[in-house]
Formats: sequence, structure tokens, C-alpha cells
Amino acid sequence: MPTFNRRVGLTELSPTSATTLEELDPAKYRLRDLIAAAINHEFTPIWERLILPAVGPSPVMSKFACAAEKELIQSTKIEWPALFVHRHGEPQFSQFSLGRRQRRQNWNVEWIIGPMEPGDAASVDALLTGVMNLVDQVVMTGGHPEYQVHGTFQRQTLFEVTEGCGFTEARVTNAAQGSASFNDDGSPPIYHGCRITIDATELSGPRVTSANAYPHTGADFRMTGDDEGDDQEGVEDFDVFEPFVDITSDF
Amino acid sequence: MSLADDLKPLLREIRGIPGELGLRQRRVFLRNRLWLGGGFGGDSSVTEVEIVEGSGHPPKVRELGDERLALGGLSQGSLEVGPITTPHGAVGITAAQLKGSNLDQYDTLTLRITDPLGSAIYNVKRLTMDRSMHWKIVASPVAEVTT
Repeated sequence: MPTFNRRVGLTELSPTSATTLEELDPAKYRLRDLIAAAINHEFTPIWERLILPAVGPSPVMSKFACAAEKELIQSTKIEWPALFVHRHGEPQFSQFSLGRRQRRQNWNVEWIIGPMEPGDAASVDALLTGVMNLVDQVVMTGGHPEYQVHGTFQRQTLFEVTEGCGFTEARVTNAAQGSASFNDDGSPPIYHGCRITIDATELSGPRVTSANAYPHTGADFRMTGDDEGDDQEGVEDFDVFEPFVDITSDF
Repeated sequence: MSLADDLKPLLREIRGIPGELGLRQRRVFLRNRLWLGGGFGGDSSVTEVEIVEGSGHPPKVRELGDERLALGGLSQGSLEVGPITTPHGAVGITAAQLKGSNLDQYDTLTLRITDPLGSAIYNVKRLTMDRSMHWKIVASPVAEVTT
């Protein structure tokens, strides 16, 4: 199994055991599902009253963990409205704590209603504003009751490490609404939607895969490991850790 | 049976003659990629249907000139496929197949076009279906593939 050497010894590179795309980038899929659940829950009542014959019966009919690229829209059978959640721009990597790195990244959330009749297009303007406000609130509070993990409400989906997105910080920085064409020459159909940009910081880099092998994550280091804290639990464990021992061989 | 219905088999055979003479170097396949896990990234399967004219020969395929590329905002290498004889009876590709209206959510519809040099995937950019006897497809290249 591939391993590499870092300051805390040999740790397993977390993606090596991944067998699905969700395991490689869980934050993306969980953020997508969280926002889809929130929009569907909050806007279904008004959606049912609006009656938009050209689009589907729910506010989110399709969800994607990628950008709304022209090539994708042109070749894929999509039921509208669709939600696209993806990382955007260049991430900034920096040191978070001993042995842990952090990654600051912009995310784009694009909710595209789809082509509509002219009268309907004018009536969804307020809906787009409402979705932008909802996403802002979800990011601010960190979760939504409609998004549940193992049947229970996860209060801090964005900040929960194990089954959430693992963000340490997140905030909505920008939002815009408008219309777009996905044809090469800009011709109809015209799609109406909005885009919300989230600035989020998450932990990245190697993560020990077993609590028995090494019980503290980088977040624990930051909380317990001060300069004079040799008597604190986290630092004691760090001191007794044997460097260059292949901890992955135990599994 | 209308006159058009009577003419379609004849037109299909006529459009197959260049292929019979070995003049059609490209073959065109309508390619559907079906995602089995309900979205991108999981298992998928590919089904292909070849678009053919008389005696199973390929339709006409032409590269678009600079003017049409510029006017249509199309990328270099874009092709026009057709005329494709409209279906008669159970023969020929249907409008539903070309538009992908028979597909499920998240499934993709592209063209795979082969020539003696290789095989590439094309996105369908424009369907011209206003004629009763033939249709045309404008497609732009996306990626080369091995199969």
C-alpha cells in the first residue's frame, strides 16, 4: 500500500483506499446533497403554486457535482431544474497545524431552472433571490434539518469532519442571478438561474485512517498542543509516537 | 402510403451508392452512455447504433467551411452528417433516437465518428429536421476514443 513520510512518521495517504468518487472528494458530494435537500424542502410549496409546465415538479430535479458546462448540457438528458456544485478557481494550500495542511477554495453553487415560457421567466425572479438567501443561511448555520445522516439531523454538516464536508470556515461571498444560453452561438433556449460563490477552508493532506494507530487529527493538535503543553494529552501522545513505523502494516 | 413514403426507400438506396463505390471513409454511430448508478461517476454502459443509408453504407459526412464555423460559433473540425434519409417503417434512425428523448435522466447522447485514422466523440450541435425526406446533423469534436 502506498505510504509517504511526513513529520509525524509514515501515514497512509487517504485517497489510496478510495473506490468511489465520493470517497475522493466527500465534501463536494455532501455539499451538493445538503443544498439540494434544503432547496427542495424550503421551496416545494411555492414551486407547486407557481406551476411551471416546462420544468419538473420539484425545485431540484437533477443534481451534479460538476460545473454546468456547455458540452455537458448539450449532450446529457437533464431534468430541470438542476443543481450544480463544484470547486471553482485555484485553491490556496497552507499549513494548518503540525502534520496537517489546509486548503482554501471557492465553490460555485449553480441552480438552473431551465428554459421556460416567457411569462414564467419573469415570475421566478423572486425565487432566484430566495434560493440565494437560503444558501447563504445554510452556509451560515452549517446545515439543514432536511439533510440527514443515518436518519438523524446533522446540525453542522459543513463543519462535521467524519460525515460532513470537513470545512473549518465557510461563507457566501458572492451571488448573481440571470439567464444564459448553452448554445455555441448564444441562441435559445435561454436558461434562468443563479450562482452562489462560497469561500471555504478545509483540512487537506494525509489523515491517519485508524484512531488506534494515532488518535489525534490535526484539529486536536491545534486545540491541545501549545508550546509548553507537554503534560497535555495530545502532546503526550505525539511524543510517544514512533516515527518511521509503518502504521499501515497493522491493518 | 404517400408519395414520400414511396420515395424514401429509393432515396435511401441512392444515398448508399457513394458508399458502394468506396467513397465514404467515415462511419457514424449514435452513441448513448447510460449511467447505471443514477448519476455520473459510477458504472456505465455504452450502446451504439450506426447511422446508415442503402445497403448499410455510411451517410455523407463533410467538414464545415470557415464561414459556417464562424457564423455558427462552431469549433474547428465540426462536421455535417447527412442527408440522412428519414425513417420509413422500421428502417432508419428515428427522431426520438436523434434527440435522445428515449433516454433516462443523466444519460448522454453523442456521435462517434470513425475514419481510417481513428475514432472520436462528437457533440451534436444542431439537428435540421424540417425536411420530410432527410435530416442533417452538425456535430463538433469532443475527444478521441479508442473504441
